[in-house]
Amino acid sequence: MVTQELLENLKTGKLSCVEHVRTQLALIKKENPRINAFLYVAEKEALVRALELDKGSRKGKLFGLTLGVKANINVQGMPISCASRTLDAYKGTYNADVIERIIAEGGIVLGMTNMDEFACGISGETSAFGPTINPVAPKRVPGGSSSGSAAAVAVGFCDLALGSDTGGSIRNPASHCGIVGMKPSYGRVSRYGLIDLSMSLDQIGPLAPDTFGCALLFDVIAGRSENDPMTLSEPVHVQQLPKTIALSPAFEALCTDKKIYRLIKEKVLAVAKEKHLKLVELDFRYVTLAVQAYYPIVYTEFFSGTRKFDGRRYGRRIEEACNEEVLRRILGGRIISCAEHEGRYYRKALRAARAIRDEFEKAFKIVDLLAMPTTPELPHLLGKLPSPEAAYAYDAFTIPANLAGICAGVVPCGLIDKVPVGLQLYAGRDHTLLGGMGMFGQHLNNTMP
Amino acid sequence: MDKTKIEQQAKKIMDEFLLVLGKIDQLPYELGTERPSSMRKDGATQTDNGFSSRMLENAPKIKDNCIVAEKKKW
Repeated sequence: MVTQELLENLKTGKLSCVEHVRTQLALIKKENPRINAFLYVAEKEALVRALELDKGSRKGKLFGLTLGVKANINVQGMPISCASRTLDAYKGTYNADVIERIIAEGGIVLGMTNMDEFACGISGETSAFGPTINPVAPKRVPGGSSSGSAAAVAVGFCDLALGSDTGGSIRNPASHCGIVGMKPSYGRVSRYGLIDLSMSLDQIGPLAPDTFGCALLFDVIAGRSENDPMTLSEPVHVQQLPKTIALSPAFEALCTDKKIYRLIKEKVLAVAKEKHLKLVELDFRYVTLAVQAYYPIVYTEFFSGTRKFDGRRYGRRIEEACNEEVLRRILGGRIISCAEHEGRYYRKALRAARAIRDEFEKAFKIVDLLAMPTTPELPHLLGKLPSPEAAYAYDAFTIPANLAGICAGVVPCGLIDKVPVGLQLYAGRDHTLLGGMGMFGQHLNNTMP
Repeated sequence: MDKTKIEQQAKKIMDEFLLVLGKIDQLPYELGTERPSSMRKDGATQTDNGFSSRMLENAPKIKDNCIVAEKKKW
């Protein structure tokens, strides 16, 4: 059932919140041992909340809709493990801003979803609590790092989900699982309560089965918060329909699997024709530096952000409990942020990030949307973890949006060899992006495979 | 896990990336994102009186409402 219809049924009482939650809990009980999308299911809390909503009179924007929350976003009383042994016994002591907003609008948190450990991954295979299975292409990875959130939405465990995106961690799994995902502009959504990977790049964002659900959840979680001074004061406007869309040879060159680019281009041309969008070609000079700019920033900020995991106040000392990739980022970050390397790595990366940001700023004066693939290849087979360098290169299409601080979203585009492929859109403004995603969603008959 | 090997690999990756970034030396950069219009309002957030006890529940060792940690262990 599509989100809008489901919400209508819940609001009119055609479907009670309790009945809805019970159905999903039964599905989770049956299928989660295989899919491993949820690390923790808040069965009692969800049913209590559902009953409260059924008895109450106020019907918020998310009335009765259920949500999975990535295990790096604080929900009071729930295990916030970041899928790591470092925090395997840690219970959330407060609600993140996004959780408070969801609860205020009648959303029901079903539990905490699986992820790559400390969000340091692209596949959904590196959780300390086992990989998540891609419910749509079971032999392939679901993508990461918001693997559990994407899989949970794709299989119907929950209606909506929250993920976090630093370099593609919402968009990548949304693409691989055949659902909709969005990384808001930096500052659009409060990061208060998010356990950070890279504080200047992280954003919490929605995952949903359709563009209506994505826009609805974004509308609830976005907005100014005094807990996160980087949040924007400007209001989020209603969706604006874009008039122009661009493709870029720079992105075509980066796409290793040409079948993916052909599919994306075919859909863009079809939608541009149907919706009377003016098609433009744009080139980018610095976007090929995105991966090389991103990782020094992430290494440095992640090293800084993990100093609190010293095992004194909670959890274990991270260096003694984490996986290889997490340790690589910590040790790498420690080296390149030493005084002897001052200016060599981090500042150079910031220069490149600034160049990329300036390019996109100029681009969005000319066009409303930029279309491209989400990943350069199809998701790899489960168990065939690529080398760190190959994994890093996988983010080539998603990273530029984070470096530039702009918004980006993914809608399902079709299948290649029975594997979902997501079409990614960038925009200068969140409401323009949502308008564009809605347009593509309508054309592409946006239903789960 | 071989920490030294992982550290060397991390440094190698960073050095390779640095070579690629070499061509943008002439461009300006800025540290972080400035939002001069977005200062935090004092008193705008509420105090959570239960937070302290919830945090102590996560501590490995507590005594008399304090966290006990071995000096220099971390």
